[in-house]
Amino acid sequence: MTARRLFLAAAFGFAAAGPALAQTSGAIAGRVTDRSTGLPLAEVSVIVDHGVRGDVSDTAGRYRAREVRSGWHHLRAQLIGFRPFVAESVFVSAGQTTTLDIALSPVAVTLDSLVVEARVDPILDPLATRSEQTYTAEEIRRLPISSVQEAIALSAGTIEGSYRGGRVGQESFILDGLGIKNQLDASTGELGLRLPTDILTEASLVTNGFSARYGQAVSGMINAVTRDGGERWAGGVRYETDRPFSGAGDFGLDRVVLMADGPLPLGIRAVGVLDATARLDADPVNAPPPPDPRDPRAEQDWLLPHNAGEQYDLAAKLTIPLGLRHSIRLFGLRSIAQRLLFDQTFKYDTDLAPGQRLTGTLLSGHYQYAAAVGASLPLVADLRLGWFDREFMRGELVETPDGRFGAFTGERYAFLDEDLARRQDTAAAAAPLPGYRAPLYSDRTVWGVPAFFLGTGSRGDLGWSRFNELRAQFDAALGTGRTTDLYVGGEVIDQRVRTFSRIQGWAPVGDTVPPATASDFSPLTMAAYAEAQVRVNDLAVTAGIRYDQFDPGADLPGAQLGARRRLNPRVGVSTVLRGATFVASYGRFSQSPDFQFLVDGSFDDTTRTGRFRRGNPNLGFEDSHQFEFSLRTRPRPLVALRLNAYFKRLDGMVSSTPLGVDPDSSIFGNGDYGNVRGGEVIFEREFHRGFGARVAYTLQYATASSSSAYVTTRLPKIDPLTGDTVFPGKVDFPLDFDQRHTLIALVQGETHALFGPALGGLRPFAGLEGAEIFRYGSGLPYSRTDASGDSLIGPPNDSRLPSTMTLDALLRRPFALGRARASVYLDVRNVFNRVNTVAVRRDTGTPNLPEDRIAEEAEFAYQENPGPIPYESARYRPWADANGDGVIQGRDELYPLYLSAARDFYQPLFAYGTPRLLRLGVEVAF
Amino acid sequence: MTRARPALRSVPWILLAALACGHEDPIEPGSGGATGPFAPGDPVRLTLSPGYDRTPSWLPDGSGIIHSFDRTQSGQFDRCLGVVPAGGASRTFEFCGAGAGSPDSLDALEGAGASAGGRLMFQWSQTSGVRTSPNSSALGVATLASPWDFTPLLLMRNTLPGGRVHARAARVDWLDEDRAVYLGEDLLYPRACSNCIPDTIPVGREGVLVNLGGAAPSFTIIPGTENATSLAGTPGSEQLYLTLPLDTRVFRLPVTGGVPEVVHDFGALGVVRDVAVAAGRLYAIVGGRVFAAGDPILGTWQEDAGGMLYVLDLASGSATEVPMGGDRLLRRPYPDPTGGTGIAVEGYALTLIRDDLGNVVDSLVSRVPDLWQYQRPAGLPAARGR
Repeated sequence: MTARRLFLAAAFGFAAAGPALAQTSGAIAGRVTDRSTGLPLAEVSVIVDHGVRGDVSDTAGRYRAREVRSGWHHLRAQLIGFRPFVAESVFVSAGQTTTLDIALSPVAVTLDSLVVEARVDPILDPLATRSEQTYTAEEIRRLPISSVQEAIALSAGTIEGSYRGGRVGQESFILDGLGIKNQLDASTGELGLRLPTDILTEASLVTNGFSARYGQAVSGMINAVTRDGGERWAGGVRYETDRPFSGAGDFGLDRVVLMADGPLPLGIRAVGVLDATARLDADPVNAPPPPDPRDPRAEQDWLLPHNAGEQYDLAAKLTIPLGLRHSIRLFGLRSIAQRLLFDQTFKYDTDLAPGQRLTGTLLSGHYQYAAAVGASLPLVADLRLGWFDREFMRGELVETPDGRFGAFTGERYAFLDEDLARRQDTAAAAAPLPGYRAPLYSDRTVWGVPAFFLGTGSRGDLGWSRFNELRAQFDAALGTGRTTDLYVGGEVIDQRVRTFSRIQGWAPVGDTVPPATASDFSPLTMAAYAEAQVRVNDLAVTAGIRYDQFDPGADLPGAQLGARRRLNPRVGVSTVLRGATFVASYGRFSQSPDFQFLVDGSFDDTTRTGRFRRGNPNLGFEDSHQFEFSLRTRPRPLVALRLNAYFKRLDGMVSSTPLGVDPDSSIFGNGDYGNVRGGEVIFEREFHRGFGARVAYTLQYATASSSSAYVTTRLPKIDPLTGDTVFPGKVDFPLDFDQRHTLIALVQGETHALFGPALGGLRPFAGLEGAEIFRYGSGLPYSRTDASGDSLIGPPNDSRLPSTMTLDALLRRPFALGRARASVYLDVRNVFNRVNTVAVRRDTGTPNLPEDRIAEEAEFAYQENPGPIPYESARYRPWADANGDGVIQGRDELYPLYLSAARDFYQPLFAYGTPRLLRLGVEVAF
Repeated sequence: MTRARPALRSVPWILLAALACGHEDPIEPGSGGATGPFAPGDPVRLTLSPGYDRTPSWLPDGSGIIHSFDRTQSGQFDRCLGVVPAGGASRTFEFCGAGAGSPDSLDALEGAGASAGGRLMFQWSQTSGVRTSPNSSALGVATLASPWDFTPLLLMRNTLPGGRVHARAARVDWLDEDRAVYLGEDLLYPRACSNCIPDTIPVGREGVLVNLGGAAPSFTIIPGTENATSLAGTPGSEQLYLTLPLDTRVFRLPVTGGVPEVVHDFGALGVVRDVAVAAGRLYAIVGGRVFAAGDPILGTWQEDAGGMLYVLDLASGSATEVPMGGDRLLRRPYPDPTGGTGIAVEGYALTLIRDDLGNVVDSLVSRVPDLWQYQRPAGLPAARGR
């Protein structure tokens, strides 16, 4: 097996090793024997990376090099009287143990370097108790995916932002061992950081009882490990675009990736990556063309205006060795994401639709101490410091920026009254916000009539938030013999939250306009843990306990409870049963509630979720208990099968409960709960002889009292007889992410170097790399309402969307470009351009509003504004003036315009998933 | 792999060619309004709305006419400001006040005048419920670019030193970037009977000079303008022109005030009013349906249903009637300040009632005006009287 094949095999691997291993590192373990006798050899020095890590074999010949960082490593085994064994390329995956058995020959001559023959076998490794699905950087490069999030979404149990049926935001992100979480609004907002895939070593998703070392999550953990700079300078550039695909294939995509890594003086190694992406339509939909050819969208029905987005991600890392025992890593990541947000209401006055900017900055330092090889106390200690800053801004733009190259604007979006929001000046915000104008019916529509579409002014929403945290994290791993490892550590997180929100900024605060809300407080979060793993033959037991605490801070108005505390036990047992590995695990997990729920907020939504919501500074932890049973087997040498069954109990989820008798006001509480149970079947055929495949199927039942903190827990209904508001009893309903059946099939192939016919000395089909991803998901639940949208008909989430299906493919042709390696590739998402319905109207159960309802809406709009439209009005449309008298008046002339406007307005654009997306790319590595 | 190299040399060029391609930009939706007049000719009808279109005032650059209009198609009958392009087309500017923010009130924006620098002075009144007079009203300044940044300068109604009650500014004429004049009018609400809907009658009181050049805006009654029925100023001139109730003469006096001197007497042509001045010519409404009216309590006033449009050459003193071109009466002319031939004017439809023999026995004048644009005649004979 070549090194690359081995790499790919590793890339297809799942979990291995104990749950307590640090998420940036794994281990190399095995047995050293005398090749001539087959007997174990003791006192053999196994040295990893020239002494950075290592171990000395015991009398049974066993060794275990701990805390070896994820990636490729050099290993040397030596004993006087034997020829040293050297392996140049041993791949270690985070959280896994690479098994490498070594046979030494009794000749004192150094062998040439050789490639390790042993490989990770996470399937049969009895030391692995964690359910982990891993994707290496190389695999991400070969698959039709572009980001860590897309890679993680290939994992069984992942449905959009939900992991194993939980709510959105119930996961944490671990980057190089350092926890990062958007604790302000994880349930509704993004992290704010996007890690360029080209700085990754690997990324993985852990969905069961992860180590006590990690917290701030109740449903999953995304772990990413970045690579160190290499020993020689190398770099690369990649460009992707859909420019050549004119017409419906052109969504204005441009993506540029620049990367470089190499050595600096003093042994320092550096790596840096810039990943910049922009698209004229950042959220394309596969909606049908508009019903009327006069609709401006008819000309380019695939492209929504004012929906562009751009993202810049810059990551850099320095690895500073301080001798063999000490090292420092400095890492920085800056992400800027800017979006224009299409709003159907402002379809004809797109400049008034909102914009959004999300920036994230992470600066971290990591000091590591590792005891010498063979030390009596093999200690590895890590001290990490991290500064995470996230700023979110949304509102009306001062000016819609123009793209300079495609959708790249190269400028920072400017928002109206951005400074006022940053100052959190609620007093000044009581008056109409400067620059905001009241929205009026647009006179720029095709139809002219004053209905449905707004112009003149925006909605007047202005929202700003800033969250930052300084985190200090200490971890220590201590080997206490060949069979036991101990792990202890803790973290302190000093956080600060600032928010500001104002709605209808064009109007003064008053009876109909809630006051601006702002907050500024400093929570403190702390945690400590201890964990041990004991290995006895083929039985491994991991047990740990974690202490979590969070305190919203004395500066939060209304806070009375002070620090809230939790003790969370976690245990995993694994063993081998008749050629299969059986794992059972249990864990209790806690996460602080989103800090946004601690403070007041004003919302301008049209659903019955309240216009003003009172924060609750005394919210407690959200909790989960998870049980999992896993069976892993390898029926054939290249085939692996994993069966997981799990149960998860969610408790104390943040809920909205009615406040008083006002149905539009509520307060947050810890009132929601839920249950998730399911099973996963993961079949894998490792990549071998140009072919590999993986199929993951999940059957899941996820129920809860509510799917979102913003949905009032007890949805009120109006009694048709008495007119009273009725609050139904509290029971479980399907969670929003209760997708019963999920199937993800991944196939990779590669043609050999002599494949296909030779044409003029060229074999165009030789060396082709291809990958396909097929996804199927049964319908997600939704709730039906009556026509008003106020009252549910039937239980919540009692109806289901249609199933969805996509097929993505990537075809790559590597070639040489001088001394550089290069490739050209075609990445196609949703190859068959399938129209997936991802949302429907809650009142009709269909994406469209039926024609009779459209007529009702048109009639209502006409009755509201039956006045004539004279010639001099910007609303005048000559083609609608049937009698040519210069005035559009009367029902015969006006109503058809209202009807067309209604059909235009109620087009179900965002009810559909993404269309076929193409990208042509070229990559050069040098 | 190296064998494949020659044939794949073109690959980078393919990508470079791809780079050269431009993305297709999303369509920018635009207005579908008219780009020319409804019916070309002389005169051109600028507005066809069944609602009120009043108080035309030409923009200083001659590009359009700012005026007040009824927002008939919105369901809210606010009186808005609009700019219709010179020559006729869809309005390029509309401003209706607070709009959706105050659905229960009626906003009336009137008397607008724009300076060459873009300043816009107008009166903004708000009425709610069934009140006859506004709840609040103020004269203020904004800019054409952002009329919603309205800065109130003077509450209406008011009584300035040396003057009487002013409830509205009839029309604002800018003299320069800091100074403007307007005729302060009181509003009377006489009823023809005890149960009748009250009428709204403006009665000229005094001319007012506004000065925005100081630390605080000042408003000064212009001596000699008492009881004027119209008042006109023009940029770059320190002379004002005015008319008096039921008088056939046009007067002139300095901006600072004084004893008015007669400029022209239309004599038998009838009562003159609604003067405006541009490029050495004076425009006025003469004759027509104008008469004295009164009320035992409210007193007497000049009531005006419109008349004929005349152009007076101030240098030669010759007056020329502008052909009416249809059955209508005219009020409040406003000439193109750049010296162009256009004259914007309120037109009131005149319905002639004839007997069986075709003789006109009566006539009805609409009280709802539209805006028209006339052309200043060239080479017509002088006025028939002085």
